[in-house]
Amino acid sequence: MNSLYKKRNKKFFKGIIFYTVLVIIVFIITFPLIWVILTSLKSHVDTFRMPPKWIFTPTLVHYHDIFTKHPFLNYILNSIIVSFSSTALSLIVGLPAAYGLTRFQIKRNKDIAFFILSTRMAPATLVILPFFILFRSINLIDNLLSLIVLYMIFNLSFVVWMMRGFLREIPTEIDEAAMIDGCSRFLAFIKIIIPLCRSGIIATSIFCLVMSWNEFIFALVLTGQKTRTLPVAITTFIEFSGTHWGQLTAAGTIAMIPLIVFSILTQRQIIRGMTMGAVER
Amino acid sequence: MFKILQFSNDKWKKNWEPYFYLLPCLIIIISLILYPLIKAFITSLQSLNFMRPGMTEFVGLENYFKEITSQRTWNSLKITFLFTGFGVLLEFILGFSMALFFNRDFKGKTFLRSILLIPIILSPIVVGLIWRILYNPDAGMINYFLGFLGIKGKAWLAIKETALISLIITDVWQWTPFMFLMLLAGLEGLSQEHFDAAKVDGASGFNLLRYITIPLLKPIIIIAILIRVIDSLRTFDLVFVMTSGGPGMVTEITNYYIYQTAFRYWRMGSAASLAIIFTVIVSVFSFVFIKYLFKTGENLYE
Repeated sequence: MNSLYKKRNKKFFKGIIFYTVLVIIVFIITFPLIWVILTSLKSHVDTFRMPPKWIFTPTLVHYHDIFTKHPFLNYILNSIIVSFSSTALSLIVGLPAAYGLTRFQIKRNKDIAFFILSTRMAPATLVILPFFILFRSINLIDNLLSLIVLYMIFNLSFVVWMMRGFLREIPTEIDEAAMIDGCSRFLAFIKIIIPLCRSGIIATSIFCLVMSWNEFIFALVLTGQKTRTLPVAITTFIEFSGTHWGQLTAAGTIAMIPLIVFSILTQRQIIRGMTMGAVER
Repeated sequence: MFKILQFSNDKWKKNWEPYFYLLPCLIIIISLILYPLIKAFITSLQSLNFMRPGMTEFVGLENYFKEITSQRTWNSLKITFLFTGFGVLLEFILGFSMALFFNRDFKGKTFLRSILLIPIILSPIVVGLIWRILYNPDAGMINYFLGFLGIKGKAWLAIKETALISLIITDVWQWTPFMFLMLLAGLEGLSQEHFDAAKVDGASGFNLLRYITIPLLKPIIIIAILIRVIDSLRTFDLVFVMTSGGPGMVTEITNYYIYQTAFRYWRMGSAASLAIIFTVIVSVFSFVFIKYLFKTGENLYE
């Protein structure tokens, strides 16, 4: 009887430790975010009062300010336009490329794939210098098009790399079956293969969207007042940092929330995309 | 006659078909990647300075020479490798421990995964902003919580000794979940057979970890570390928003130094040469790293 109790106590104890660690980790991750959100809702007086006020009357004044005193809506729209356009473009060009790499016996197949991957290795500063000089000379600074084109490039290598992995999972028998039934390879590609790897496409698009949305240095260098994207806009608030924490945290919250919601909704896709190709060796 | 035409049509199609799919992509990548490489290289050989336009001249390898002998360059490289080295190491140790710890079914596992996904998906700018507020010496929560432990808070980002470590901690906060999720996925992909067989042979605990788990996970560990190292070497946003390379130059990673040279001092030529030097170093390092990891990986799969 005694040992039974001991065993149960031990299990109980272990369970407590487990869930304590769990709570601590969740706290470490979420507290910084919650803190920022809370700060954005505090009035000017409460904002940096020490010790911090946990119970306070929330106010939306900072949110109101950033939309009225700054073209914040524009910034959001710019980010949306650039992210979605570049993702769409890179999918249009990248999907066929990935398909080509996996379906045809091209000599140097692996080399091409590796070459495409290696484009990710270069630090952004190497790429941005020549493009800055180029765009400046053709007056394309402060123009969303320049960003869209650039984002498309580095999204492209990512799309090809990821879709290659996903497409490899689809057996070539399916293509051949479709072609025997009379449709051209291209039609088979569009009507059959693409719907089959829908989840892969979604995971890839999510990554591209997030990467473009969060991209900073290209946007920093190539945008001006009119075309600024969200990440760059946030740093401009920091110029005023001493006095405008409220607006800063409000801007940060607006930048955070969609991503957080998005990641919770598409969690499975994202993790699948991240670990794909790594787990199936 | 008709038959010959048909045959040649098919053969033509067979040879060229793959390239139709690849062509747009390759054209774009090649032109838009080769262009910056070539242009950057050319620029690095010039004394292009936007503060003195029209005085650009071809100076050959002078920029390279200047940068390689510059103290600031070496400092930035040192800082970069310190940042990446300690950052990725910490992320791996923490991430792996967490993956091992949480590698079982429990209520809230999906919830944990969703939560841990968030730091990864946030913009480093936002993360830097959050932590900048937390590190604030007067009103930041870090010092507030440290106060409970009786530790006096400091101006973490403003003191030379603590600035880099504070940056590393922020980086670890953001990217440990990445290591965790990757390694957890790896652990979940391992089949139970290996462990059962080992347990029958009497292995347990630490031995199990060292001789079974880690070798089996080698491929994923390699990939996860590789991705993190390459991305960490390219850090920019975090430094820009948290410390701007300061105080002094203790957090001036190479990427940021290149940016400063180009867009603060406007010395495009020097910046280009620096960028090329850095890219070469990163590439060489990556290749050597990959080769080393794959070698040890193969051996241990006995």
